[in-house]
Amino acid sequence: MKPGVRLRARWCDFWFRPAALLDLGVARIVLAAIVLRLNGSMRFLPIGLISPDLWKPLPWIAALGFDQRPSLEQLMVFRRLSHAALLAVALGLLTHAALAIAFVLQLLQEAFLNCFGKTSHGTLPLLYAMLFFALAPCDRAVSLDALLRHGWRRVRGRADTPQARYSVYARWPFELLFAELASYYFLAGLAKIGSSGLLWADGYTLQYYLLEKATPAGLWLASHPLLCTALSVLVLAFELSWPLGIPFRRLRPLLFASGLAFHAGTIVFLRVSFWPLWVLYALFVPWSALAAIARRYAGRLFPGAHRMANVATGP
Amino acid sequence: MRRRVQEAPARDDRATPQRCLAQQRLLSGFFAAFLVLKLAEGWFGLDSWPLTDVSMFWERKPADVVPKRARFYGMRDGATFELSSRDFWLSEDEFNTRLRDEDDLARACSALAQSYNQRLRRRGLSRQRLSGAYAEREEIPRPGVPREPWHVRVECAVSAGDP
Repeated sequence: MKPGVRLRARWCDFWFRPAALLDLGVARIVLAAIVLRLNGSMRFLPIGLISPDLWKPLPWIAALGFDQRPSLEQLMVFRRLSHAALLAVALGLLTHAALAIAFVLQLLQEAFLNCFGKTSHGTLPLLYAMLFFALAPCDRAVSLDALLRHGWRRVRGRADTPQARYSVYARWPFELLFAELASYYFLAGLAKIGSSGLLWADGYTLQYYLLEKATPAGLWLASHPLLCTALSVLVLAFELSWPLGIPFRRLRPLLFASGLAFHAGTIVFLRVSFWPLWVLYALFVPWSALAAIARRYAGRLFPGAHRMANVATGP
Repeated sequence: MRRRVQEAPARDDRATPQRCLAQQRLLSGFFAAFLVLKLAEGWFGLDSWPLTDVSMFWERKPADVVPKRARFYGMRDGATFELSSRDFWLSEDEFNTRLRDEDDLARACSALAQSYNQRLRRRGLSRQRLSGAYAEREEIPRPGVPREPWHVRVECAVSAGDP
């Protein structure tokens, strides 16, 4: 086989190997829940209360007509639309349209938050996840759309057509989202060593930020320079190793575990949560594999239940 | 054998090879564009939201550089009280960017004081306006490194016409 053909085959296999639609469907619900929880009822409304003279719109936000700060009334309309769209996403009703609307509104409102002189990139992977899921067949399982489609087939007398449980398009959103997370951490590590090399990890830098943030645990850590140095080295190793998880999928559980430890550290020592970032790890839970395990155990314990589960979900 | 055939996943049958290839090519173009964008963000250090790789704590701070802390105090009806980021509806980072990290502390704190008063006036709460304000900035010494204490205090102009 020619190298080009082999490369193309590998590329296709990487992105388009069939995967369970159930994983995508459940991840869609988790994603909608994360965004709903993040937005809450008040997240964007304070924008309408900030003094207008502090408004420094991003160029593309000004080009959209928001050269003045959006009013409280406008923000409340955006909030209502956004909540309705996200609820539809969670239920899987008109999923693609709802996700597209929710994505655009989220992008706009997140951009408003970045129009006051401070750039924050903590929710960017979440936005990418919404975009990827809007383009993926995440409406094919665990959704009202799937139920309605099934009902429509019954009406047309084609109820015996089996519903697809796997799709060649069910894997790529996870792969691309992992690539986004990997680049997110990697670029953070690259920015550190790009500006000052490995000297960044001499411990003084971490000590500086710990003193600045001044949490009780951080002040304790700041008084132990050797510990600061060791943790700085670990941070660089953690951030720079994420791209390895793109080709080597088996490394991902380790990277997720170290990511949770990393963020737990930043919460305790620096009061920096970034929870919309690490909660995205939940999208990678292999729900279909867990369901299969649960079904197997249920089958052993309750043979009748196993038969019933097969009737409900197919063999 | 029969059992294995029965358990084989029901694939996405709607994708014929031709349609599948076309869709896969389209998606592949999207993936490639995304990956190029990520490389560009890193290579060129793009910093315009949402195309940004702004990372926290990237800047190296050698041993002789010490962190600073800034505080803002307002006065009203003869009482002095500290105002935090929440009083300006700003995040802690936004507040620090404006007060602690600005070179000209007097100008930075005046801008904050004036925006605070203007917001109260717009909401019909002029009686709660600040009659005076000042800001303080101080260095936080590193543990075990002796250093002369450094502290500065500046008065803020609470209305645009103030000297």
